Amino acid sequence: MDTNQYMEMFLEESREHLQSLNDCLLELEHNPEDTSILNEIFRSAHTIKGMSATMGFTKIAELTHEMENVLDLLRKEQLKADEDIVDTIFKCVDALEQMIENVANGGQEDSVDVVALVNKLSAIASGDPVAAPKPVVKAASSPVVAKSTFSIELTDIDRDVIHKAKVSGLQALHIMVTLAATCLLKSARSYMVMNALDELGDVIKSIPSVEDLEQEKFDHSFDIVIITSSESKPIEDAIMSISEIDAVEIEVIDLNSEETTVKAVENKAEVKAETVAKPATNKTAVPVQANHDKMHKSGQSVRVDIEKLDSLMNLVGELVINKTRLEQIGITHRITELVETIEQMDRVTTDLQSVVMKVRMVPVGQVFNRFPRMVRDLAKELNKEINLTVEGEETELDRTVIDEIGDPLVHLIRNSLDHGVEHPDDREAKGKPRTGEVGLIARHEGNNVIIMVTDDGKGVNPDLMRKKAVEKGMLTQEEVNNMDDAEAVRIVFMAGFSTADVVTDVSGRGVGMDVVRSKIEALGGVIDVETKIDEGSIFKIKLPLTLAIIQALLVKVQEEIYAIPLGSIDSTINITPDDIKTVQNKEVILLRGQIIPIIRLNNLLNVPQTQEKENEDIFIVVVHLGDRKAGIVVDNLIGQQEIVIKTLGKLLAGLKVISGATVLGNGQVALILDVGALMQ
Amino acid sequence: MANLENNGSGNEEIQVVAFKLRREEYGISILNVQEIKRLTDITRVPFTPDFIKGVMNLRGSVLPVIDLKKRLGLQEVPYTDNTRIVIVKVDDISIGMIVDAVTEVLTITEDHIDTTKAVSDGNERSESNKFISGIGNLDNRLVIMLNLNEIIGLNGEAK
Repeated sequence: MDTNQYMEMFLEESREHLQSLNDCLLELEHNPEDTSILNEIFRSAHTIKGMSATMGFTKIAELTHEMENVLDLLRKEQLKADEDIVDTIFKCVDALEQMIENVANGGQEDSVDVVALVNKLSAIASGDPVAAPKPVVKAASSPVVAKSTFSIELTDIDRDVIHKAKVSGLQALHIMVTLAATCLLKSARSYMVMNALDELGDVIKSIPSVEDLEQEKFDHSFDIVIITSSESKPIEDAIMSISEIDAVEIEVIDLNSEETTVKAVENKAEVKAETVAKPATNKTAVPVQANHDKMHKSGQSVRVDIEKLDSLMNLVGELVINKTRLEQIGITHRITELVETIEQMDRVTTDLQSVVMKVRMVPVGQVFNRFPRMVRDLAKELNKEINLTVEGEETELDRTVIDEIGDPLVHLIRNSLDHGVEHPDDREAKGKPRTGEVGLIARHEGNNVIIMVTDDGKGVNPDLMRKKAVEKGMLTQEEVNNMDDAEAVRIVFMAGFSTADVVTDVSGRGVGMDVVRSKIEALGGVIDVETKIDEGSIFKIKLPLTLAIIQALLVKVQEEIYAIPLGSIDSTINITPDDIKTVQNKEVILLRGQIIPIIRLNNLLNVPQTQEKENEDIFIVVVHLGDRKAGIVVDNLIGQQEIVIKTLGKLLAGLKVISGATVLGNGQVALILDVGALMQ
Repeated sequence: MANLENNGSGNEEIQVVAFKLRREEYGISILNVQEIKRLTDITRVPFTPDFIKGVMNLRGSVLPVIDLKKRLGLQEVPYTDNTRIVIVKVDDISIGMIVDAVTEVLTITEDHIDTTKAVSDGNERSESNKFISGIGNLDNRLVIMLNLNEIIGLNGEAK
């Protein structure tokens, strides 16, 4: 039977079922007695078994069959879903996931070894868990950890796989990757390495295991055995193109001579982080994202390279600029036909733009759905009881933002688990329920998306913050004394700050939060924290919906035109000079009973004076950042317009107050004001 | 380009876009030049060194523009009809440079380019000297070769 035409369907459905298996298993952990969940799990496993058998994937079928046996016993209440069993099933799901992804990437399902898992399952099913003790289970993923020399311990199973590969003309390579000592997101880097390797061949084992890599349970280097048709060089290049990789060493595994021969390639090339970082992260982020993507979408879909979408977006941006230009020509020359045609064109470009935007929008669920599992594993590791609530997964965000938001969220959630939520005993002592609540909430708010990480843990103590900041010499005693509590709490976002007395594996190297903040700010977002001692903390991230085209108000200061993003504008008002009062020599105005400081753009930006102001009216654009407001004094308001954001380029990067530039209808460049920076 | 003489193949020809700054003639390798534009609108950017004139629109992308005379410490003169913006690209960074006039494309053999030592021993300040990579001599017509890396400030000084 030609099964190729069904392949896509098989993959899509398998992924869906795997995701639901993952979700259900998490629930099962909380309600081990709930047979409806068990039924659901059973159904998913059964469907996967049926489908894979039809498609001829015997290994997947075999594994799911054994899973079914165990699940059936659980369902009939002949077995109790204890931790060991759930863990084993989780491992099975992981193995299945890996096999399905291998198949999807054109590889073979049997590159993942399931024998140990199958044995373990059948042992459980026969009611004899001792027969397959844990080490055997682990053998599949992480055998004897001995990497003192540059060679790798192989189990018999591995040898078998390697031998088979040799026969079919492939070679097995042992790759040792060393991450830069400064690398912050080791798990992310290792994931990128794995992903890059997945494209080049089949990773048959890694030391430490993939799970441990994901949880950063390794030093700065890890070992991988890959079966590939590729030479060492392209593999080395692929890995080195990932940022923060210090060194890659590759050797060919030769089973004939028992000692693995060190055949080549030692490369300690220093990676210039800044030059490589940009393209590398962009490129590698695509497959990572694509994998997540595949889990959720069903129906007909096309995978498109993100770069193509970007260039489409740019072209649409150009079109919008030219349309505006045409509009102005039509208006200045009063050509009715032209104006009418442009109106038509306007409609089409608006539609086109919104379609392109929509294409780039993806639900945050793609990022969120990996967290339940992460939280579960982390909670176990930390011996804490944690219940994660996820809300608003359907909230859509621009693809570029989605790609970048994962790491900061991982940090925040880890932080909440590690530093926020207390140990169950401590919680009880405080009169709280033993189980800590951690929330991950996304929602729309105007032209922004809000993502919140909440916990009901111990909160951030402002006095402690003050004390630590002074201790570390980051601030002076006087500076911290002048801070109110809300400001003091924000010290947590400053560089080089960590209050955890014990640096744990999970978080607290004192680099986390400021990295999170700079990442969010690089995305044009803001991060803030609300906290109450012993009641918990809320980390609130506000992100723009898109990074490419925004609505802005164009204002004139003398002869210069500036754009202010509409998202941060509260209102515009028209006042007379008498309305400006001073408080301690600072100019303020009263707006609906609220005192608002004003900023004179011409002074702040050193705008050259070209004309005397003749009229008495003063235009003020009231902008807001969070709860704070400020009035920006401008000479004239030009109007609201859609603008395409362009960067000022490397040479002018890092300018305060200016966040970018845009090309106006007449071809002139206008600078975009960074309201956040203006208000500081 | 300072070490071009040392690589043994002194007879290779290079093409140079020559332009004028006041009365002196300067040159940059044609490989760095993307295009030459007439003076257009330049938007001033606050908080930048004064040799950065601002940014311009080149078919939809925004490029920084520097005034080359200011950068080299020469006296400014008002812009004329001959004033041009030379768009150059170095290491993926494109910028525009305002020059008084673009004269022509010259072909110079490398052994006609002298090191800057000849002039640096004199009264030149070292500050503006680092922008110069050599001096081309074409039948007594002197073309000062510029070191674009330094001019763009890739070594961090522009910020």
